[in-house]
Amino acid sequence: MSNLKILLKNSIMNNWGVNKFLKEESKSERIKKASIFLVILLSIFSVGMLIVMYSLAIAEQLGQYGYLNLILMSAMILSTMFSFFTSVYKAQGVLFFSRDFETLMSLPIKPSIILASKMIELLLLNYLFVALVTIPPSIVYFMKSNVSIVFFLYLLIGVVFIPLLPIVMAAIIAFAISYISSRMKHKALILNIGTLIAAVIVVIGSFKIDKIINIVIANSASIIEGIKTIYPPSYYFTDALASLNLLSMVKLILWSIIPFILFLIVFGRSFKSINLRLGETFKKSNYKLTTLKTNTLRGALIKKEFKRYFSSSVYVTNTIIGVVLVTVAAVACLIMGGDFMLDQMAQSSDTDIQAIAPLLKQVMQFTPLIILSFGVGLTCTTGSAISIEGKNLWILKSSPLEVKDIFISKIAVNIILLVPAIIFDTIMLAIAFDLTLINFMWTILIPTLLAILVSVGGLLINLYFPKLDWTSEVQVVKQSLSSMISILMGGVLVTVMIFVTMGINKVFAITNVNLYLGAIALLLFLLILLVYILLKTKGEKLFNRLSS
Amino acid sequence: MLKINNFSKSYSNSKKAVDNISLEVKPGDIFGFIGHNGAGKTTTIKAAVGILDFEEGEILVNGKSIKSNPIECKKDIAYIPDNPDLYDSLTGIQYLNFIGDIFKVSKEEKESLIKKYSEAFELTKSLGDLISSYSHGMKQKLALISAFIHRPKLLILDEPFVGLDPKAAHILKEFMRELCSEGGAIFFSTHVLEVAEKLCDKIAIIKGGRIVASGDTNTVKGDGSLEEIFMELIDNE
Repeated sequence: MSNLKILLKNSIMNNWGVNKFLKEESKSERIKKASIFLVILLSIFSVGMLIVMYSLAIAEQLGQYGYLNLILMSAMILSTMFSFFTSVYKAQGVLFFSRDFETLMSLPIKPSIILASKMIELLLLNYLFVALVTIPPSIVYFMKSNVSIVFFLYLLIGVVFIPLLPIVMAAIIAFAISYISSRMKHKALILNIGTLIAAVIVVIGSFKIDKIINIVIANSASIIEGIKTIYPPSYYFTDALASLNLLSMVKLILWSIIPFILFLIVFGRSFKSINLRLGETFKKSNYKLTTLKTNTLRGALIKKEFKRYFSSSVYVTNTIIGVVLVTVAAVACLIMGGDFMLDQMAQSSDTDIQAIAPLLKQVMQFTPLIILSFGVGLTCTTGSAISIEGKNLWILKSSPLEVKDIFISKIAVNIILLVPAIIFDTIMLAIAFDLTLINFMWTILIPTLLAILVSVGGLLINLYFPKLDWTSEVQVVKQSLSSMISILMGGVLVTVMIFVTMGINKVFAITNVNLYLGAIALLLFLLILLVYILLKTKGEKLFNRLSS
Repeated sequence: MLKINNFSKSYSNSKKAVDNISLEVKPGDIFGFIGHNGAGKTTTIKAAVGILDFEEGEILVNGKSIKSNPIECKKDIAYIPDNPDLYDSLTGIQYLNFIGDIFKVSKEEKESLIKKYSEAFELTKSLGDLISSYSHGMKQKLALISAFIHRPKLLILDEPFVGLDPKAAHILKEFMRELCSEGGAIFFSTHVLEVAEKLCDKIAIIKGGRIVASGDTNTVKGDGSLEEIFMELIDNE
């Protein structure tokens, strides 16, 4: 077996929980894991079916105008963009923050092979989504056109090669950020800021995707040529599938494989040096004993939690992005003024916005509340706070600490990060949107309650789904079940609140908004109480059972 | 100081890792816990310091049960695992400060004890550096300093001499004796039989989760060396 194969097998067995599932002896654990796998599989199938239905509707429209192949092109563009955006995020952790780096480097394996295995690992992580976004619309295309069954062979090859180029581009950005930060003294800080800036640009960019697709659909024939010049692989993919053109398929493969190989050759060497430099720490060895500060027990724990948090750029960038985006949006709103959004709507809509402007302005009084709630809902450090202890858990467990104090210190990090941001953003948004005093107070109160709920809830989720045997922080912060559920929890909570409010409004026709908001605040408060009680009872038991 | 009564522990319904062991470490004792790899030493130690839950038996620290009164027990214990994973993102001094705060050591005492132990282990100059930059031995020394600065009544160590240079090992032995002369007690596991023979007043040999010999070091080893007795006990089924 080649070294690359061995490395890949090892990383799949080790990082993807395959081994754990196969070797699990406890029947209940096996059933639990198999059920989670089934639920995920079912969700993927449901999403796939939804995409098929959606594609069918679009194909109907496009078919009438003879632009059916646009469905293939948009699937390709979407999966390319997704691969790029998510990999910018992931590449950092997979390439540069693996715990196994030194072990791998001590083995007789070329660094470029190690880099290749890491890149393929990154690639594998993307295949699920690429397949999900590309295959259902392609099936619809097959049903609506007269291509032969060979189409599926082309599709399969296409799916294999689509994410290569975007992943190379994402990895180059990760390399650039890591290279710069590896030369700095405050590596973690530079990495945190660099990755956050990249993430903000990426998110702002992703908002433009629908506009691009709209333009593509509106100007089909000429745009196909346009896209060919901007991103040739998408054209070759479409042409290869739609006309079963072998030459286009070869071109697509070359466009994907050549940059990938070039990347491995060029970055194979610096991969090692950057990793080594990132691992280096500035050793002064000139410490002189001076007076020390003494903290209270909780103070000491919170301080330790913050130091741990900010030392991990993967942890920071993945958990703080929601509130950073809201803060960027809040400052942008202040600079451009609240009416800016109204103008934007007026430009992009056929209806006479000015006629309903007073009503819209009233609705916009609650925009800050919704924006902030989503931002807060997505910021959950506690969802990984227990898992991130990993092999350090023994320190907390063997210290004379009440479990309650450990919990409070972990919850405090999220709250201390969020509450000042909520206040700052609300002030910015209040000026921009000219909020009334009562709405200003709701905009502070509800997100604050939400922040507490998300913090307490995240911790409880992490206790139910801990992952202490990680080799890379990415596994905890991005790929663990706990982090996914806790991030989803915030988004789902806010969405449910909005829909319930809308539902009540429709059924009971109550127009007193303050009544709704009061009810939501009360509901959040009760939920906090409930989750806190659960944390005190069940959570403490779960913590005591943990062992790293 | 440490009393283990009929303690058993098994993992995920499999065979017992530790099977009905009992032992007692009295104030002033340096108690060596000897056994081959996988014999159950670490399991016993982890249960004694309150990291591992257990169902069978009882473990008392200074008369208090680690099960029902873990916090009070832990206040009296300092524990160092075999491969101390410390917080890599903290500096050495931040870590010591953190442990000092957790054990509520006063400012003055903390400063003087950190000075005493870090100078003895020759780690003072590195205390301002990140733990991630430390070698294995330096981490071991830092973990030892963190254990001594809160003046534990019971010091529980898992393979404390692994990774230490000869000088540091010598200093550690000195501090172990000092702690015991002040009424403290030490319970530690080791593979280094010479150390156990010279340093320990009492030893217990564990094999396959069961204690096969226990008592005063001189009584256990008799006229032979500890190594001879150990090999004999381990080889005989």
